[in-house]
Order: sequence, then C-alpha cells, then structure tokens
Amino acid sequence: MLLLVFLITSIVIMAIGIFGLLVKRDLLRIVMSLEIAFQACNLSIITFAHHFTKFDMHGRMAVIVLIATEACVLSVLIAVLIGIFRTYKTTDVSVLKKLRW
Amino acid sequence: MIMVNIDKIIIPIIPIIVATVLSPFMRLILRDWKKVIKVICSLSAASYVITMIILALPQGILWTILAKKQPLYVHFTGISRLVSGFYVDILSIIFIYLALLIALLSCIFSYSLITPEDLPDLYFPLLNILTLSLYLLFIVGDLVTLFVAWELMSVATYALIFIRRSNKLAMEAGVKYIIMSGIASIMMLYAFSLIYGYLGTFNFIEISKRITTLNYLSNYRGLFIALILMTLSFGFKAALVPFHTWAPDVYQETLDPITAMLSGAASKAGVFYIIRTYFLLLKIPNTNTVLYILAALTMTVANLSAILQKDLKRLYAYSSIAHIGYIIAGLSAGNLLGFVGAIFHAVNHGIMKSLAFYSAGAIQKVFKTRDLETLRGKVRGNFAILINSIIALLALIGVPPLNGFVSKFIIVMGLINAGLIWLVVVILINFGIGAAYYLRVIQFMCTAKGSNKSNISNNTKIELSMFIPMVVQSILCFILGLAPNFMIELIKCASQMILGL
Repeated sequence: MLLLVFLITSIVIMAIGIFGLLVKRDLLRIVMSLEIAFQACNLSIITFAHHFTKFDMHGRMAVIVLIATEACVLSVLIAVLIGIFRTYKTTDVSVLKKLRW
Repeated sequence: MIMVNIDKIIIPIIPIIVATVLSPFMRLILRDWKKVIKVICSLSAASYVITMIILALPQGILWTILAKKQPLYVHFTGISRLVSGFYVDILSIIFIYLALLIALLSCIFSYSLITPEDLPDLYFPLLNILTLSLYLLFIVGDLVTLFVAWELMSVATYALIFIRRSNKLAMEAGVKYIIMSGIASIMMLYAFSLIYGYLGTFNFIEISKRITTLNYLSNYRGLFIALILMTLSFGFKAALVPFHTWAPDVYQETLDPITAMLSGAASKAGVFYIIRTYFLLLKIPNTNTVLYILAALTMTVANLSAILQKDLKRLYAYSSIAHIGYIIAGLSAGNLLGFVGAIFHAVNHGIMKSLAFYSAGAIQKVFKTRDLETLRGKVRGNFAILINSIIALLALIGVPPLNGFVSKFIIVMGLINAGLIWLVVVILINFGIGAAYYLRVIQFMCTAKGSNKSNISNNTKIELSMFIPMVVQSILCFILGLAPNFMIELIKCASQMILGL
C-alpha cells in the first residue's frame, strides 16, 4: 500500500515536471522542471529500494550517485542559462526560432 | 564469463585523462596562442593513439576477449562493487575503436579550424571528455554507471555546442538539444527505476538472467513500458524520428569536427544501447515490431526532408538520420545476417559520414559558404576537397567499390531472409531517394551554369591538417569496400556472441 502511494506520488511529480518542460517558455523554469522530474525518478528508485528489503543497498547507493550526477548536469545547465541571458538579454526560449526545417 | 580486475579498463584511458588535466594549464606556460593550440592538439592526438595501442596489446582486453570468445565482466573490489561493474564484448571493442579513430581525426582536423576565440584550452579537454565518456558508455555493465556516463556525454556535448560564443544559431540549437535531451534522460531514468522495481538489480548480467526466469504474464506490462521508454531515450541520441528534430539544427551549427564526432560516434552510442536493450537486457518476445516501425518512419521522414535542404551540412544531417534508420532496419530483421549488416553499416556510417562532415568543413573554410546554390561549380577549383566529397557521397549512395555498398547489401539480404518484404521495398525506395539527393550535391559541386564558369577562384589551398583526416577516411572507405572480410569476420563473431548462436 505504501509502495503504491509513493509510486503514484512519483508519477504525479514526474507529470508536473514534464508538463513544465513542454509548456513553460522561460529557460529557468524549464531547468527547474527538469530537476523536479529527476527527483521523481529518484523517489521511484528509493521507494522500490525500501519496499524490497532484500536488495535495499543497491537502490540507496544508486540514488546518491544519481543525485551527484544530476547536480553536475544542473551546474552546466545554469552556465548555459547565463550564456543565453548574456547573448539574447532574455531567458525566454520563444525568441529562439531561427532554425526551421 | 571471464572475470578480470579493474585495472585492465583503467590503464588504457590514463593517457586521455592526463591530456585532459594538463591542457588547461598550457596557457600559463606558453604565452602564445598558436603554440598553445599546437601543443594541446598534439597532446590530445598522441593520447588517443597511445590508448589505441594499449587496447591492442597482447594482455589488453581486446585479445583476452578474442581468445576466449566470451564477454568480459570487470568488477570492482570493496564497497563500490555493489553499484558498479563493466561488461565488455567484441561489439564494445569495435565501437570503442570507431570512437577513438573519429576522435583522433577530429582532433587533427580541429588544429587549423580552432581560433583563440573558441577557447582551445577548453575545447580540446572537452573533446577528450566526450571520447572518455564514449569509452565508458561502450563498456559499462550497470544501469547506474550507464546513466553517469550518459550524462557525462551529454554535458560534454552541451559545452561543445556552445563553445563558439559568437554563433547565435548554435546557441539556439543547443537550447533545443538541452531541453529534448533532458526529457530523454528523465525517460531513461524512469525506465531504469521500473527495471529495478521489477527485477531488483541494476547489473546487466543479473538483469539478463532474471528476465528469462521471470513469469512474464504477471510482469510483462511494466517491463514493456520500460522497453518503450528506453527505446525512445536511446533513440533520442541516435536521432530516430520522433526525437530527431534536434539533429539537423545541432549538426548544422556546431563546429565540423564536433559534428563528425556527434554523428559518427555519439549517435552510435544510441544504436549500441538499442542493441543492448533488445538483445541483452530486455529480451521480451515479439518486440521487433517497435523496431520495424521506427526504422521505416526514420528512413522515410529523413530522406524526404533531405530533398528540400539548401544547406550542405543540414542535408548531411538528414542523411545521417536516414542511415541510422537503415541500421535499425538491419537490427529489426533479428537474424545473423541482418545483425552483421547493421553493425557493419554502423561502422561504415561512422567513417563515411565523418568524411562527409570533414569535407563540408573544408568547403566552408575555403569557400566561406555552405549554401548549395552559392557553391555551384566552385568546388571544382579545389581538387582535394572535390575528390573527397565525391568519395563520401558515392559511399553514402552505396556504389560498389566503396564500403556503403557492402553493408547495405548485407542489410537487404538479412531482411529478405527474415521475410520482411514490405520493409525491403521501403528500404529500396529510400536508397533511391537518397541517391537522388546525393547525386544532386555532386552535380552542384561539379557543374557550373553559364555565367558561373569563371567563378573558380585560385586561392583555394587547404591546410595539411584538414587534408590528412579526409584522406585517411577515404582510404578506409576503399579498404572496407574492397576487402571487408576481416571486418565482417570480427562483426560476425560479435553478433554470434550477442545473439547466443
């Protein structure tokens, strides 16, 4: 039962993240949505690790490694955000529409 | 299963790590930018060569696997063995050599292309990191390590797309790439969590063991969702059609050596993991349908889009997507012949597409344009570029003495053997469309219309560092076309290992 609650929570958080990725126009919000969706995946893994106690160690160590990886990705994304802001003077991605077809 | 110690994996990449760490400090020692570029470039190139040599040593992983004809499992000792392990087979070795070769040639090609504005003391280390991440990706044996290596590759790619800061279009392409890559990473991670939830492990060998003993009826659906999510996320990096829209933008606007690296080696990482997913990790019956549909869609959409293109690199980008479609079609046949054809085409595609992108880079460097109308008849002025471009295009069409023909032929034979006649028809029509637009490019390069005839300028010399990579790839095109037996034997060995024949 607890498993189901946490899994549904993770799917809901994931849906929020994906919704933000697809709908939002501001790059900062997109990066935030990306992080929310990543945390949903982590929640899912840690839930499974908690549920199946016979192989808990793998899941918990994996989540720590994954959080560290996502932090690295986040730092690069913020660097990209700063670069975009310096070039275009805005973080709105709807100005980026020169490349078509 | 051979178990070996971790140092066999670590020792080959030490030269690349050393080159990566040393390069940023070169600017402090040598004040002159030209000297810095020369030193860093030769350092990186030398590190790739040393890595290739170390891998081929008698005690290295290559000969260990070839002698035993079994996949190699490399383990850590201590607490980290719980989350990590490496799984190496002949296919990994083939793809590692492909990645190292293209990285070496890209590094040489970059020498005359990189200006101080592009931050050469960061560009070459990033190229090294991209190569390193590809090396890791082809040998990992664990889903967590796979995710780390995957993100390392993505991060290196983001930085390399953004490296020429005056290019606004590259920034736009990069932002699109980052958003889509993020969605792909999320889907991949969620698929991993599903696999962990159903099978209780991250290890490749454990997954492939447990999935055969599992009762499918109760757990089929969740694993099928995981399979679809993994196909989409790996297909993103390989630029399969629902997720291909980043590829033309990024391939068009990044620097040419990076485009060669992305199209030739990094997209092969996607293909490699599609192979791993379908033939090692999630061997669920009757899932080849997903691959047929993806292959047919990819080829058709990419080839039809390529006809309309006016930019040379964008045209090559769409043709790159179409060729990934041919590779996936070969995989979907599911028999040995199709599999050999697909892997051989992956190797050939790496070689000929990087040749095409190098020649496009040389054209842009010499003629200052990539627009096909403007290029009309001009390329005749430079024989070296012209002949290399034509070799690349003929290889992409699949003209017999060149390598493209052999692998396309084997793919079609495999599809006929598997009885997929409709896919054979689709793939042959696509070869036809492909030939149409490749020949159009050759026509644009060779012929001049009326008043354009005096357009050939005299100042069209190219640097030696641009010429060498093109010549090496052209010679490889001929060698693999005229004498493919050695390569096919190697790939057959790899395929038998994977298919378990």
